[in-house]
Amino acid sequence: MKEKIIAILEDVCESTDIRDNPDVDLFEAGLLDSLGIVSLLIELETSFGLQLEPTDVDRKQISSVDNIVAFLKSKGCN
Amino acid sequence: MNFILRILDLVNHFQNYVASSGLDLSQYGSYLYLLILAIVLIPAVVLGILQVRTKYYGVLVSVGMAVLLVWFTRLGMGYFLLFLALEIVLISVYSYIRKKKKNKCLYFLFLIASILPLLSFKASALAGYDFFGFLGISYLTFKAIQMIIEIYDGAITSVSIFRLFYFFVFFPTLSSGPIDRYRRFDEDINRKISRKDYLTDYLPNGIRKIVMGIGYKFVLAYLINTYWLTTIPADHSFAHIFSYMYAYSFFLFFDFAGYSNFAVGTSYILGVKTPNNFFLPFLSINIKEFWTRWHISLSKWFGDYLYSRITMNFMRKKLFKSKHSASYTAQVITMFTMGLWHGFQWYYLLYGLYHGLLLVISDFYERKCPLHKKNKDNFAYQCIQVFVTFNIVCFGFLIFSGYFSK
Repeated sequence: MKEKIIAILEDVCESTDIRDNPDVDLFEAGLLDSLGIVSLLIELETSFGLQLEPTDVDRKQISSVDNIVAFLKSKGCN
Repeated sequence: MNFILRILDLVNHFQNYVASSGLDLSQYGSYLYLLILAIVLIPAVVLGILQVRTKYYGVLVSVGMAVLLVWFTRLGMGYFLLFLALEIVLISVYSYIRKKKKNKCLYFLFLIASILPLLSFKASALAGYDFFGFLGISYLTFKAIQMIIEIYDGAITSVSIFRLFYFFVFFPTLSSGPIDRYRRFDEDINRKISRKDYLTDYLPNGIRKIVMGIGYKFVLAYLINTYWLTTIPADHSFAHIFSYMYAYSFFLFFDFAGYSNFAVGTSYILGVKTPNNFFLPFLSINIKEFWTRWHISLSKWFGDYLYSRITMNFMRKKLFKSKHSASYTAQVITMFTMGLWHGFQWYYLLYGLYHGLLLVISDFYERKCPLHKKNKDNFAYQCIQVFVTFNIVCFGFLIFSGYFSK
């Protein structure tokens, strides 16, 4: 799952920084903005079969690869 | 005719959210309000020290203060109560219905119903009379819309009428926000705050913010208004336009940020950490950052409930080739709506459109322009960016002020 998420983030953030440093805080590094968040949610929807709204997630839950993994697991994904 | 002019005048005073804080009374009125506030907050402090949840006292005091605030503006008590009843019924009923089924048509019906009072008010104001006007209607409507949306989403599953009522009448943010969210507010009012936290965090920070708010609004904004803004002659010479633009922008900031600090500080004392509304907005490096620093609760609301959702729908339905086109379209729609929310006057609409286009142009510039890519880490260039952003923003406020309609 972690690999899938890194791949999604590479695409969404248009950057290889995440692969080089998977613990990076996406917001502090300026890799995710509001459009990025939307794109990320869309990708997570299609890749993991979820239905997500912007207010279902708070920033902390998607601020790093590990946090996203934890978030998806809490939604029952593998 | 005179009567209509008086109503128009009142409504104008109303719609300018700078003056709509209810604190902008005569000197006597302002001090009276502060005195009442001080008296009313003392039991809240006592409760905090005793580690008792303030929500029951909070509701009591909010009802009292809401009555006072609405009464002071001498308009709309009946509408206020009607609005409260309407929204509470709508939300409670919809919450019940939604548990049975998730129907999009019903959702839109309830959503539109919750916006009707505000629409009627803004439309009637444009036509020159007042229907459904009361202090805080624009801000309370956000709370209603937000709840209906999250009930549909399934994020809000149950609503206690008591806490719903408190969410709406919570007096510190009643007249002009900051705009809070039901789930966040509900967590806050149900949280048990330790005496230590109250005495080291909530109380001192609350007092600090109240003092800052008073300084901003009753000192700085007052001085700017008295010795600068109102001294500018009425004719629209270039020099006057220039002066008015900056005077108005600074006045707007100190007045509104002052009110917001005051509101946030008061709510801290009541054990609620209402989010801040401003953070050094005139030091923004570009327009996108500006909207994360100015009227933050408003732009976050529009971002979460309008922009992000529109963009997601565009992308889900693949209506645009590029995600940027989808985003740009959504940004213009969102900003235009934001302008519309202020009022149906042409200068509010233009203000919204202006910011929508600015967001698009500045994003395009930063993504595509080689000059930017080369210099964006250069300190001098960044200073220029801040300077340019500041001026662009001030010009926007000039439009917003209705200066060009006088």
